[in-house]
Amino acid sequence: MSLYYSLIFAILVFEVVLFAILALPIPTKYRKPITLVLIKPFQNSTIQISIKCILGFIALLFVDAINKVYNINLELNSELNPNSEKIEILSRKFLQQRNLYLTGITLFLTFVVMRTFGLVHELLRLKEIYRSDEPKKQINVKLTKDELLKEMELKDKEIKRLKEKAASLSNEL
Amino acid sequence: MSLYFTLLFALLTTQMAILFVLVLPLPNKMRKMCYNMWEIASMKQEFKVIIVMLNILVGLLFVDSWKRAHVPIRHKGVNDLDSTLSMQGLASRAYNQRNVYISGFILYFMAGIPTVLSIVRRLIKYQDLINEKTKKGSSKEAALVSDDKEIAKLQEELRKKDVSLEGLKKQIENLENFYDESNKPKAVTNEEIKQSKRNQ
Repeated sequence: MSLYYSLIFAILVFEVVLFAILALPIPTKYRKPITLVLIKPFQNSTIQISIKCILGFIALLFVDAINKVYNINLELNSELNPNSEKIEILSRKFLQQRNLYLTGITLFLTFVVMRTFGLVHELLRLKEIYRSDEPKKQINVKLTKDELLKEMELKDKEIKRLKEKAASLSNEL
Repeated sequence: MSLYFTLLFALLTTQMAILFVLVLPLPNKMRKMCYNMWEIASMKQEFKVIIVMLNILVGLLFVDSWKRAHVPIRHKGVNDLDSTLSMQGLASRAYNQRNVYISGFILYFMAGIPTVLSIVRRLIKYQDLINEKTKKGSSKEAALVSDDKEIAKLQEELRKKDVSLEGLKKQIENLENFYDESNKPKAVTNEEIKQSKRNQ
């Protein structure tokens, strides 16, 4: 494998591991710090730009591999070069097909890892919203209502007592 | 490509498409639909058997390709003095490496899709719980509004009662004053009567 493809293979292995860590059902207690630690380096603008450059390079190799596979297929079908051995063409074809898979899956996994991070982030956010405390306004309102009713009752009793007193006083007069 | 590899390529493409759809930021309804489809499929025994069989077949291919891809390609031919790389060996290695990628990623996505689905399931669960909570919250808010009205009414009644209580208190005070005043002269007259009785 050439140095280029060795590098892409290393990136692919890294992405495979990253996706496995992100997608595994770990409890929130561990998932949150792990996700934060994993995403921290990718928030750096320099790293983001370099990732974009590398992805562009991989995409270029992917398109190149597609093109080569297409050309080799044409060559194999038309057999323009009778001198060249068929086995040599086949060898080139398989090599290009391998490169096609390598670069294609690396690009796909980059997208999947990014989106899986999005999903995990969304999940953590939803959990946080769900677990956040409810406002306790309801209880206060209920209490004041009860208090008001009790006070009303007391006032009613007082009014009744005073009315009776007034009635007895006016009778005595 | 042989028919076998065409089928495997189709399987890999299908898996990639499924994973692509699952990780997209879809609305909750769509996610629910996807998850329900998966649940219905995974309930069937035939589906499980097919998946297990596929895993075994692809696993065998993976192991076989892995072994063949690592076979040394230096050909010790009689005519090749500098023992150059054999074209056939190279072709075979590239072919097996390609198969390693195909079978390896089919197996990887076989494990990856259910794990992503479990994330989607939890997303749906929490979204539903939050929706339920907000619904309850809105009904509670409505109850709060009605409570507020009731409280305002009660407070108004209480204020009226306070006013009438004040009025009654004043009335009683007046009555007591009047009673006291009307009793005072009587008390004097009684003393006068007593005095007059003594004088007599």
